[in-house]
Amino acid sequence: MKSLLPNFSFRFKLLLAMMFVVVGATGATLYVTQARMQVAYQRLFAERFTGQIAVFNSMQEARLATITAKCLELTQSVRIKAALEAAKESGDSQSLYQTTFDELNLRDAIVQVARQRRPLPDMALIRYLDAQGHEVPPPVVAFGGAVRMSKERVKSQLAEVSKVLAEGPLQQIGYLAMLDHGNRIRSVERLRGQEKQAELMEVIVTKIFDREDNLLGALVIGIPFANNTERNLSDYSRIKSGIWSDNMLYTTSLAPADAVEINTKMREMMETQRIKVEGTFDVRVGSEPHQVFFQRMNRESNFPATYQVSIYSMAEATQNQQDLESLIIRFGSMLLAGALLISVLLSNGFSAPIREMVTATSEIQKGNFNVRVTVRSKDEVGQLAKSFNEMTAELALKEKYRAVLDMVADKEVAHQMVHGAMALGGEKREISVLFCDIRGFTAHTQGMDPAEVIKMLNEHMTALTKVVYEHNGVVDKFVGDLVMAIFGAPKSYGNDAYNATRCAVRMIEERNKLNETSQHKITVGIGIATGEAVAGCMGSADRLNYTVLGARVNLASRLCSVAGRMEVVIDGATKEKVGEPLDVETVQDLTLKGFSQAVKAYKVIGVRAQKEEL
Amino acid sequence: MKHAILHSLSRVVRSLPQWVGVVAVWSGLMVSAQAQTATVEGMVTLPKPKTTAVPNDRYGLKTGQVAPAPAAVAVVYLEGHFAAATNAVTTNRVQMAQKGFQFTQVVLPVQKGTYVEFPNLDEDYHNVFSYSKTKRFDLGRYRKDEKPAAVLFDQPGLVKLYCEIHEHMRANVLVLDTPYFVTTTAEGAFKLPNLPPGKYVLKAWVDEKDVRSQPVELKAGETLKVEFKGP
Repeated sequence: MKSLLPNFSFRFKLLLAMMFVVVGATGATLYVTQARMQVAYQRLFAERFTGQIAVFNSMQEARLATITAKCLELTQSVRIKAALEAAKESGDSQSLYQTTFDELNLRDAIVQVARQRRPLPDMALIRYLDAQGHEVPPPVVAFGGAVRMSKERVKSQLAEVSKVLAEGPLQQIGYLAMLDHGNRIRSVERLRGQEKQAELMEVIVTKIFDREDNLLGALVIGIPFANNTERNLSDYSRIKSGIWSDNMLYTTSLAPADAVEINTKMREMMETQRIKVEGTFDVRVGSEPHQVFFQRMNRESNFPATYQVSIYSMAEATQNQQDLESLIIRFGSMLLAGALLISVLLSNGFSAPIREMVTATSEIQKGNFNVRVTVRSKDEVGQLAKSFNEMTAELALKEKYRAVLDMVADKEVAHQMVHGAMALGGEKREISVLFCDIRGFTAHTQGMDPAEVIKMLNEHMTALTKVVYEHNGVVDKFVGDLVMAIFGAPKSYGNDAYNATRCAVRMIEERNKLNETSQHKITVGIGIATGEAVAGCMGSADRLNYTVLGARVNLASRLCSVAGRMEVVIDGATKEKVGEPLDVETVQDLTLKGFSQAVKAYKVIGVRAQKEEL
Repeated sequence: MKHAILHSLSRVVRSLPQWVGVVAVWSGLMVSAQAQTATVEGMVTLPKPKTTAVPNDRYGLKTGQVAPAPAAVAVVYLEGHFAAATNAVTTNRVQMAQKGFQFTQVVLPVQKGTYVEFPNLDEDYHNVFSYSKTKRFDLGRYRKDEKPAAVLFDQPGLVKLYCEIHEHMRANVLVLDTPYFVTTTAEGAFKLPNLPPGKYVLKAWVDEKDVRSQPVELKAGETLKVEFKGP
């Protein structure tokens, strides 16, 4: 995640994730729904088509049952066979056709009485063919029917029929165009004007065999293909349909323009693919998508394949699909908006406390330990804020301790102790020790208000402590009016003796300056000694003081007490260590308490500033 | 009718002396004719018999009920112009019966102007009809005890016979313009006696598609041997 979205805020990442999830889920739903619906509709149409075909087939069968049965019976009649033989021998077909019509009339009379069906005129074309497929012409045209066909058309139709005689089942059904070849409709546009003529003829061919099973000929009965069937079918299923025969679509339920579209597509389909029995394809008619199913009607027949074609409008399906899609998209948008809102709220719940904590942290960095963050919740973020506050409080307390430590102990010492650099038990170091006390303090403070004394001392000590710090010294302790400072412990700055001497001179100057403004005129004396001493934390197990011990410390104290008002007295070691920048005036050797020999001492007149100091 | 007969009888009685002379001359002629006639005999090679068509089940006939189809035979006849005297009708009424659900003959040769009866000898209906151009007729359905009218065949030619009820039943009536004809035996042997001498064409009808012919010269008192070989 980090590498993918490196520079985005958490809130933005959350938004992105939410959007991804919602958009992805919506898209997937859309896709699945679309696919499912398409499959469902296809199945629905296929089922409808199967039903339609079944109805069509049974209607067809019922419609043709009488006539096909009649044909079979007729072609097995001895009279017809005898008449056909006689007609072939003599060319006189009178008895052949006469017998046929007698029998058909008889039959039809029965049908008419029994079932109230229409009589003979439906049978428009009645012809016999001989074994070679040649027409056995009727003696009078009226016998043969074919009222709506020219002689040439009849001939060409019979030529088509004769092709199926050679093989195939006893009875075959075919569909042939009724129009003459001359004005044969090739494009369905012309169908508009000549719609009534664009009819199919349903042809029933029944072969005739003699008693030795030799082909004698065939009976051909052609009936104009009842458009009723198609119309009934359309009424029944409210689906448009048609018949595809001889490379052309015959339909009455389709609008001519639509028929042209489907005709074109169907022809394409037939030319490009080897369709045997059935098939389906999609076609766009006008603006509406349609699905077309087709199935062969005359399977057991040598006639050209004829297909029942059903055209289903997908408009409703598409509309439904679009409705569903828009519904899904609307839901998706609402979800997206909701998700974005929730993620904004969530990320606010995260980022507001976090930003507050970031601010607080930088405050702490600056030293402000009083900042607190608001605890808004009890969740992880809330816990974090709570522990942040606790941590800040802890830090503040520690800082307080540190401040107190700094005050009660020397800053440098405190620092060293805190950082563990202070060796317990002490160490031998080369140091300079400075003692500074107030001359005539007891006399001066006699009868003074103690608070006033403290105030005076505080003013005095504050000023002097500041000077000590300026010269890298450590205030060891205050004892009454006395300040003890150490240079070179716990840490040496190299020129500790010089620092100590400069510090002393500056202390005198500082006191003089103070005396000009302060109501208490105070004079001090200062002693400095340099040499080896033990430095360390000393005291009881639970109360320690950092200090230095040694003869040099005592010496510094003694030198302090011999120093005059506003005088600085140093020992020989100090003088040697400071060296050249020091102007001193030799004091007579001092015999000091605790020192067996006389001690050389010098009174400091001035200390020139060292080069680096300037 | 009666009157006409009486009238002619009286005429015969009146002209009796004349008649005696005529009869004497005629009988003399007959005797000389006997001596002067020719005979043709020989064989017609018949095609091998086809398997007989099995009768259709739909008539409810059992195989045992149906007699075997009659043997195929040929008709041999002499074609030519004959004197009126010799052209007289010998038999003007013949029968073609139906028995055992078969016509009794495959072919029945008759001279032009012959009446043919079609008696039904079976315990069932028959319906003999023909759509042939030579003679178109339909006897309708009739039983054993019914007697349909005899059919006059007054034009030469072939008449194919059918039974409207039994498809397997087939026969032919060969109407000939000659008094000289004979049906061969099942083996194809024939003998045609009492023929007038002269040049003629002798024909053998085997079936409708197979009519063989041969020119012959007949001499009085002689017997001509003729072989009709198959195609």
